[in-house]
Amino acid sequence: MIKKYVFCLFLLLWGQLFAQKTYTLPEYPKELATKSNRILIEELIETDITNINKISVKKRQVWLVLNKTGHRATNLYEFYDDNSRIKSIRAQYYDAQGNRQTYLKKKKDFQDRPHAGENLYSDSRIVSAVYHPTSYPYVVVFESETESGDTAFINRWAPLSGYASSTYKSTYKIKFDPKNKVRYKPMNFDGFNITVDETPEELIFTAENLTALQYEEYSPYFTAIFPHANFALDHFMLKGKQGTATSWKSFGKCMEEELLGDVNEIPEHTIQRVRNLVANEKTNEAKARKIYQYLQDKVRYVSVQIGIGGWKPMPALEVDKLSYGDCKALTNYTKVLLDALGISSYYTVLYADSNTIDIHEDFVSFQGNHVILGIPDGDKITWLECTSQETPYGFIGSVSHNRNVLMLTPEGGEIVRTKTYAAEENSQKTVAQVQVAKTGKITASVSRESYGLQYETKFRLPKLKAADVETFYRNEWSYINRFLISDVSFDNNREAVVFKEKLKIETDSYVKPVSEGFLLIPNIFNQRLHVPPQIPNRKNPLEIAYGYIDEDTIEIRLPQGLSVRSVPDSVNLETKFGTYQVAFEQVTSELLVYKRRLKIQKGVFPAEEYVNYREFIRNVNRLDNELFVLITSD
Amino acid sequence: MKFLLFSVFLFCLVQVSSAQSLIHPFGEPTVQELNMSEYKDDPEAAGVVLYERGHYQVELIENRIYLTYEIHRKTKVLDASRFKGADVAVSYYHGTGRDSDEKITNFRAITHNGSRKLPVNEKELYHVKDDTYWANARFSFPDVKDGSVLEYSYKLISPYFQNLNGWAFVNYYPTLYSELTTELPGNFIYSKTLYGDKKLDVEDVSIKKSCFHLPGYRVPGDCEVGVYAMKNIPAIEEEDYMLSPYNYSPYLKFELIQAMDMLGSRHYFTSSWKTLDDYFNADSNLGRELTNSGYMKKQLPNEILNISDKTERAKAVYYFIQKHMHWNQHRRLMTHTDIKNAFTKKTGHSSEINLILINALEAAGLDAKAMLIATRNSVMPSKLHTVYTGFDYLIARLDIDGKIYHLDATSKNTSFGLLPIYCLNGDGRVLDFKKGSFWEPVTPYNRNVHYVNVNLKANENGQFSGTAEEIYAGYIDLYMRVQDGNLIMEELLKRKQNQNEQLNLTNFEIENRNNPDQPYKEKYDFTFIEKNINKGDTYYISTFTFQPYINSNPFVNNYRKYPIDLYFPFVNTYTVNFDLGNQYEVLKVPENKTISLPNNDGILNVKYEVSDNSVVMRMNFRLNNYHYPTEAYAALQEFFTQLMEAQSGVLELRKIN
Repeated sequence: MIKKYVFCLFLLLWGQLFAQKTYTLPEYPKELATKSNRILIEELIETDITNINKISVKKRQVWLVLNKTGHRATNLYEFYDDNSRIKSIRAQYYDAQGNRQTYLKKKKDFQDRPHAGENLYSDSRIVSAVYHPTSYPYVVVFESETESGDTAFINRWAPLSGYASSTYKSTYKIKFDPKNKVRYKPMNFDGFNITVDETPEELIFTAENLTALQYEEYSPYFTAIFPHANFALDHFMLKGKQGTATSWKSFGKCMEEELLGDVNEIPEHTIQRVRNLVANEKTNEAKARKIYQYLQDKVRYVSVQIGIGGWKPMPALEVDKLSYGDCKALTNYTKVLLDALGISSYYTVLYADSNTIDIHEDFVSFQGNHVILGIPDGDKITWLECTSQETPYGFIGSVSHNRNVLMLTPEGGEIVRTKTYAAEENSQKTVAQVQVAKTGKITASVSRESYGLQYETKFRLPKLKAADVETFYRNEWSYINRFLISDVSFDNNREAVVFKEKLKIETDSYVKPVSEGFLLIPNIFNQRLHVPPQIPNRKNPLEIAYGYIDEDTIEIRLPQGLSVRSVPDSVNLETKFGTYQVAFEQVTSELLVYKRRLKIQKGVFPAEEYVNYREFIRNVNRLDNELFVLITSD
Repeated sequence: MKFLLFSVFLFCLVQVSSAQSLIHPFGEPTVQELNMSEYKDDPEAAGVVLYERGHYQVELIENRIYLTYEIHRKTKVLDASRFKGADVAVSYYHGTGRDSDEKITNFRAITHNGSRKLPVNEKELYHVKDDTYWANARFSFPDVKDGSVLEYSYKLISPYFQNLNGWAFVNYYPTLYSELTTELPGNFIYSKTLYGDKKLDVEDVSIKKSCFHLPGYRVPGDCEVGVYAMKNIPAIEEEDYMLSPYNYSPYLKFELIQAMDMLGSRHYFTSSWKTLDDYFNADSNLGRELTNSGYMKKQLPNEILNISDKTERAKAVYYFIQKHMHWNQHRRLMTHTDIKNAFTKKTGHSSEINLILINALEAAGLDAKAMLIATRNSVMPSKLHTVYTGFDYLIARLDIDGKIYHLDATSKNTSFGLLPIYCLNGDGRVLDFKKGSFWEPVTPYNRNVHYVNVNLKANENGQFSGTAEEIYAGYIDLYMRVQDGNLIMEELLKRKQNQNEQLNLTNFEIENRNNPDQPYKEKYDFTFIEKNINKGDTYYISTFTFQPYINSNPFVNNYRKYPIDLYFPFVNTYTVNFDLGNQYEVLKVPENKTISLPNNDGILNVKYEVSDNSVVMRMNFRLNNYHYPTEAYAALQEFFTQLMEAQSGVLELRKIN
């Protein structure tokens, strides 16, 4: 009883120690305010992981928020779930004179809501500060203490927390058991004022005077630019179970046993059904195709995040019964079906994102946010996206391609790279026959074939309602003021992964009347190339995320009484970013043929190349608008 | 008077027809429902609501009165790959105490695949608390495939019997049969409004004797039993530039007129506008907060109070409050309001800020009143009945010698007299406690302008360069200020440059960025880069060297279902002056044209003046009306098509030397 009393008193005093009615900003270098919306004045994060069963984190951050954009970026929050808690959380807001305006003392003063709104169920919740500033700049002092039983996850240290944000001082301390050392992976430390101190039981990272980085279009993903450090333990706990992460091999083995070991049962009648389904198929590929189709017809994606911190799949039996599940459940279910046929397949963890994010090969730890299935086929691996009811067999698309992923094989974990689409594979071929009338009205039959990542942007078109299909083409060719489309047909070849569109289009507002006749831009169907903005003094490398090839062949037939006055010169541009060939040809007096081929090359280039890249795209854009002058002759 | 109204209501009740509620037993879809595989009236629909029934009842549960909502719904899946209704969420109020919480009970759900039934267990109904006041009950139907019938029912128990939910007979998918039944004690009297122009197929109101027993009362009460049903209701659709689709869809709304409590005293809510006005004036938090002009007088600087011109004084008060107050982003109406506290803290919800404004205007000797409105995403309040629950926002209404202004001080970017876009939604109710409240249209600010003046000159090489000035007013000005977002000039230049790829911009300047009383103004110099394409001696130059306000046709679809609402009227005035510098002769200019919409709703005028050494293009585009009936769609579409045509005009020049 007395003990309890003393404890309360201590808490009270401790609370007051940190609650102050006024705050005085330290002197900070003026350049931190240059092109910055907010300054992290001080940050101290103390992580204690000396006990394998518990990770506790004490955090103190002081932000100087300079404007509304900075305010929007300053999200102060902590998470909790069934296996973690927020011991204390508070935020004190001061005006520019240092007088306290608002004090959020405890958890109930914060907003408490589910972390992921789209989930059917998730136990993860987020507690965040809500504040409406009445003036700028303002200062906020944020303090929290959290505790979790999952030592598998250690938050990264990121002393610069976003674009247009600077840091005066940030310190990260992590204490550990010398027998279970914390490993760390420094990322992008070069060029930043960062020091690392290491003792047998503690790591201390300090960053000082980091000026704000500016967002620049066509840059690599921010994790490739911003300094940060990732942490992991060799021996950790996850939902009460111990795990080991000394090599991908052993870590993967342990993951497979813990996550998949007891969720792989399916009813006998299902086994019988899939056996019958593939009875006539000879090859593993043909069988796997049948199984994938069976899965796609049966299930749908529903997110349910329960079990081992959202890492454990729902049992295959449940998926079999309910016909729904999340990426883990559906991938595991597919694997179990294939296992029943004696076909090997590997549960594979990755970061699914439109940006390329790798699983760090040299840093064994829990990474990733998505799961797909890999089926070995000789030296190749066929990848299956099990959450989609429409994706063709073996097609993983833009959020999963070209990255390092963790594949769980019977021999253990293995880092492999997913399919990288070459420019040649992401092609779009447009062929059109255009008839120009003497009035300037044009009618055209267009057919277009799309492959690879360009297939991905269009293959769902047949699922749209007719009115939405029309809207798609209106947006696609929005530079044509008024047009009618008809006879639209699609052919989605899922086997070969080719999507074909065919349609007719009619417009009387495309050609521009001039004194002698009309102006006609022969590149009718591909004018929407985006020109990168001017970025003087660019700092970041240029990244072209993926390559592609667009080919357009347009045959233009002129009527009696309309002839071409000038035929533009053919042009061939070759750069390290890609090539562009455009040819204008007068075959007969009635037939003009236009050919365009643009190839964009994927790659990362030094910052100074950005100007040249922009120049290339501008030139293409200009040549894309090159025109024929058609003259009326009676 | 009050008694009379009650009698009229009773009289209505006597008109009883014999129509019956259609009750489907749970868990037993018909063979026809199970076998259905297409819906001819809407062949593109991925699903069809076969049957839905709501039963609303006042019930006594453990000695407390509750409103209960029982819902039963059966949906047919026609195309599982496009069907979106298999994951269901029901939201309910989940406040701080047990007594104020709503509860979901009697949950049942089954997927029917032919005769095979797959139930959802009660434990698979997940309750997720959203924030402080709301929670979601969520579940997913298992094994959903083409042909499945998804059936569920639940009962929601609510202590909030003043607010009887309405009933939408319309769904995201077409609906074959939708029914609402109500069983409400005679001491709860509601008015009913049916939105949309589709008629009820069943409307049956009758009296059920002795249906409601209150403990301690010997005589049981009678109930009003209502049955309302509709058949074959098309799916709800949304189009661009429209008010809430529920204004045009079958939706039955209830409004509590009066209630008798357990002690037998009658409480009037909306029996007449007079009762409601009295309530607002005397009883409500809102009415009390309108009497703080004395307090506000002490807060306003004398320089403002001493301005002699009324309009100038009103403006000064408006900008003072706009600057002082910081909106917490909450739109609130009937919740707790404390304007003294809000003024001291400089932050508050929408009603607090606008009540501060009203009191401040009153303190400055001006005639200001509170005005209730429904915001744009809400259904417009019905004018057939006295309504209380249809409103969700409060603005200030100022009368300066007969000139009316509608004001809202929540945004930092609005100029005096300009309401935020979300406030533009039909009529509002002005609370005049002396003469009685009245309806008044919320008319959008009407001076909305994009004005551009460009001067170009050719140098001795024939290269054009020029200067441009773009001025914005009204809502177009507001849009620019929101876009501006106080970003650094470097960022704004990048954006402007990106919109005008054929120009190289220099000396970019913006005026009045932080002064909403003066127009946002951009100025820049430029040189042409590429698009003046030359073919031999002939040059083709686009006359629109800047991005016009309307740069794509807003009406591209060939079909329109709902009336069109373009928010506000506007004017675009563009002048481009080419000084040819004795370098060019003019071969052709685009045609002059004048096109009008019927009823003087709009005019487009483009005129090219060619003189010795110059070409001047003047375009005036004026949209006088902003709300159009569905039938006006074709004319509007053509009008905007002509505008796009005019804005793609090409000037044809020949180099002289």
